[in-house]
Amino acid sequence: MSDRKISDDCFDIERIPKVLELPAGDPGRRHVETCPRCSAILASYQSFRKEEFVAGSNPDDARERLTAFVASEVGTPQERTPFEVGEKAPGRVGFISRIMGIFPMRPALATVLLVMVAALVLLWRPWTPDRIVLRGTPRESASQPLTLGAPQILSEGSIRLEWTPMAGVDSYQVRFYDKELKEIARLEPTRETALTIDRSMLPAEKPDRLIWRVYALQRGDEIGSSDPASIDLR
Amino acid sequence: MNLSHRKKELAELADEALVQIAQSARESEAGRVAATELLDRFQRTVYLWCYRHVREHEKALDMSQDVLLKAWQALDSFSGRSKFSSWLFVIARNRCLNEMERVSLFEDGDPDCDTIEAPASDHARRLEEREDEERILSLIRSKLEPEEQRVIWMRCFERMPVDEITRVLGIQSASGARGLLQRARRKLLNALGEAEG
Repeated sequence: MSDRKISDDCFDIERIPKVLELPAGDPGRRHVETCPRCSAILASYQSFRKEEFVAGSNPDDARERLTAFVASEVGTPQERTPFEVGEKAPGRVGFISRIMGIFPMRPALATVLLVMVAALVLLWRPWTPDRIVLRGTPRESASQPLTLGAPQILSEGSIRLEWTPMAGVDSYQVRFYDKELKEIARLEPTRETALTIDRSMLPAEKPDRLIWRVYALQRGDEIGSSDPASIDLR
Repeated sequence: MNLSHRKKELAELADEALVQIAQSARESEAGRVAATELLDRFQRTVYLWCYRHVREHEKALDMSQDVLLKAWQALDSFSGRSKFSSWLFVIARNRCLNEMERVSLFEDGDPDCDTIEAPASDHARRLEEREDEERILSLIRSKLEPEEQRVIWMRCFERMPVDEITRVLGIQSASGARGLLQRARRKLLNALGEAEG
């Protein structure tokens, strides 16, 4: 009975949240807001999306275990890196307790070792970067958004790309990526915030779908970038 | 491009773009990395949702695993007509509904809610057991105020916990959704009695 619709106007559950994108006076939206079944499901969905902490829950433990579960089910390759980008090294307390665990009956030896480790840590820390900046990643200062418009496939087959301007930028560069997010082409920087490109400018293989992104440049340096977006070329 | 760089790029993509990559290259490394990013993005959402329903960490974890696994297995069937989050919500909701015990329209399994003086009549029970849906829905529609209809729907059909309904509907009174539920149930019972003459 739970999926029972009250009237023919009731929406499939999956579509209810999308109805909220309709204008305020739209009959579909009015229905969702007033129908007990649809409004209850919408409220339920909104509660689902809110992710509010519930007393007694343990999201940290859940994250650890669900991350491992997803990786094993989906079969994600694991990269052996010391730490993830932007992540701190493991805390020293954990390290110390592990060391102490190795020498439970030899406190003097453990103390000497700890002093040596502490000295090493003090010497080592100044050279540890706070955050690894990957090649091709815009600098942190680029906080201003650069938003892409929806790409248009024009009648003659060329593609119109548009984006919003960004202050302090002297040129923009469009870069294309394949579905595996490998960069496959980059256009000459331009001062404009729109471009019409011929398909011949794209890689010869002519993929069905391209991912594109615009980088904001200032004297040749990247100071910001848009989110990547895709273009369906079929 | 190394894996961590690729993950960083994927983290900036919208859900639907990740779905496209995962669907078009399911067997490739890129597809699996995209699917992982997508599911990881929602694992907290799913877990907290399940926890709200069952209030038990291990149980909520089991249910979350079922939901994420089902989403991965059925990802190819996602047509893109809706948001990915609402598609996943349907899976999570179904899982929770399967887990939760059925809640009667006239009597609640939650002892805090079962304080209606007049017990449900045999007729009310029979009506519900027969799942005379049209009759029940018609009573709900015609006899209850919109807020009462909503609260009954949330409790009995969506099987939401009472405190969650109070929170979602922003009910400020001391009795919260419990009071509203009791009033709605009383009205339903009275309406049923009147209908029988």
